[in-house]
Amino acid sequence: MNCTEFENVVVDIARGALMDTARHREGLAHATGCERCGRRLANEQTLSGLLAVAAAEDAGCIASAAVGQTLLSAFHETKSARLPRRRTLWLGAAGAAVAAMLVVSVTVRTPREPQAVKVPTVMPAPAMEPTKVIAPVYRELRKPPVRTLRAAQRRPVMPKQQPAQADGEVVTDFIAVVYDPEPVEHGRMVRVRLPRSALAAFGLPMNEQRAEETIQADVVLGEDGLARAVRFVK
Amino acid sequence: MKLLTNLADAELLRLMASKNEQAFTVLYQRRQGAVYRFALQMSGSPSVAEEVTQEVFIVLLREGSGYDPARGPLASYLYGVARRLTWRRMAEDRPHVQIEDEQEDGRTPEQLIARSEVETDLARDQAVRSLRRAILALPAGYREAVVLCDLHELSYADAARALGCTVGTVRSRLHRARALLAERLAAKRSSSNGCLV
Repeated sequence: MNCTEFENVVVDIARGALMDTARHREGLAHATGCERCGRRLANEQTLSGLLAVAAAEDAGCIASAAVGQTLLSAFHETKSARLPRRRTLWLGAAGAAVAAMLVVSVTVRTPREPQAVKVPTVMPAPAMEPTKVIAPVYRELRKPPVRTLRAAQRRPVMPKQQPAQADGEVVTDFIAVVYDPEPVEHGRMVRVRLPRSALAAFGLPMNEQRAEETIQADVVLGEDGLARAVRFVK
Repeated sequence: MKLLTNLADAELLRLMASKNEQAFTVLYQRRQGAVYRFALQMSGSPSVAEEVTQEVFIVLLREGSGYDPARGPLASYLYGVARRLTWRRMAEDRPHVQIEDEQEDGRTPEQLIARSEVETDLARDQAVRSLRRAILALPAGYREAVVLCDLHELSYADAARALGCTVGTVRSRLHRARALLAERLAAKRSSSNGCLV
């Protein structure tokens, strides 16, 4: 094992993670013979020790009894309010489906500007499966992406590479992938294909019968290469 | 109640859906600590952690039937919900966040000594406090990886389920996060003349 290969296993060795026994042994042997990697392993083990202490200190941290009491009250309320709530969900789903159809028709008839970033938030799936509409979740996710979009508007770094919204394309709002208080000043957007299960991962409704299929998505990448936001394209 | 404590999460959730209060209580007692600690370690704020914990279980009450055991353990699902709610709360609270002083959280050296009389304990306490600050200063994606994998001891696979990403991404983020932590702790150590570790 050389130093580069050791770098790939040093964290797992220091954390005591499950790993191939032979590689573990090779890693330890390399750390014994290489002063630099030996120091590297020692530092990682120190860090693991401190993290273990922090975890142990936090182990007794729990929410206050007041939270439990509030939740018990909510549990009783939910029990009594279950049937009306279901009816509300059905009505909401039907309303969302009608709204979606209206927005789609407006979108198709209205000429779209190529640089337009503000796009309709349409998820056609509810029309087929009203019970899977999770409207509150979807609305909750709208706030962070706006900041990302503003950043993208301030600096349209790659207007040609930005996947234009071709006629007939319907996109969601951008959804933050990681929480980052700083707006993305430099970055790029790439179009990728993701498994449909990614919709569920972001709290969006998904037709489980089509889970094996893929769906197009635009991903905003920060300077560090990490994905910051994603929107789904239909 | 004793019998219920032996049941798996999914079974408790099923009973909960059929209005079994004890099932809800058992499930809450079993999972609330991890949710609370996750929110606390991500935000650094006990009040945020309390609110997030409450909201996570409200979501479970209202949308628990949306949880699919085939897609992973309930714990990963709860971490995923907690993560989303914590982000939202942190985004809302951001204008009010007070920048923490680099001083050792206001304690005088005398207080520190009184708290841990043995010199090595003092050094360890200081190092752990520095570590906590360094974790809170990490970019959110890296912080999540450290909190879930190192503080909550989740496997890479379970952390990946909670974060909605691949195992490779979790490993990569954890690797980079630990490098950043080591760097910041080393800088702190050298500025404190080697007294931290």
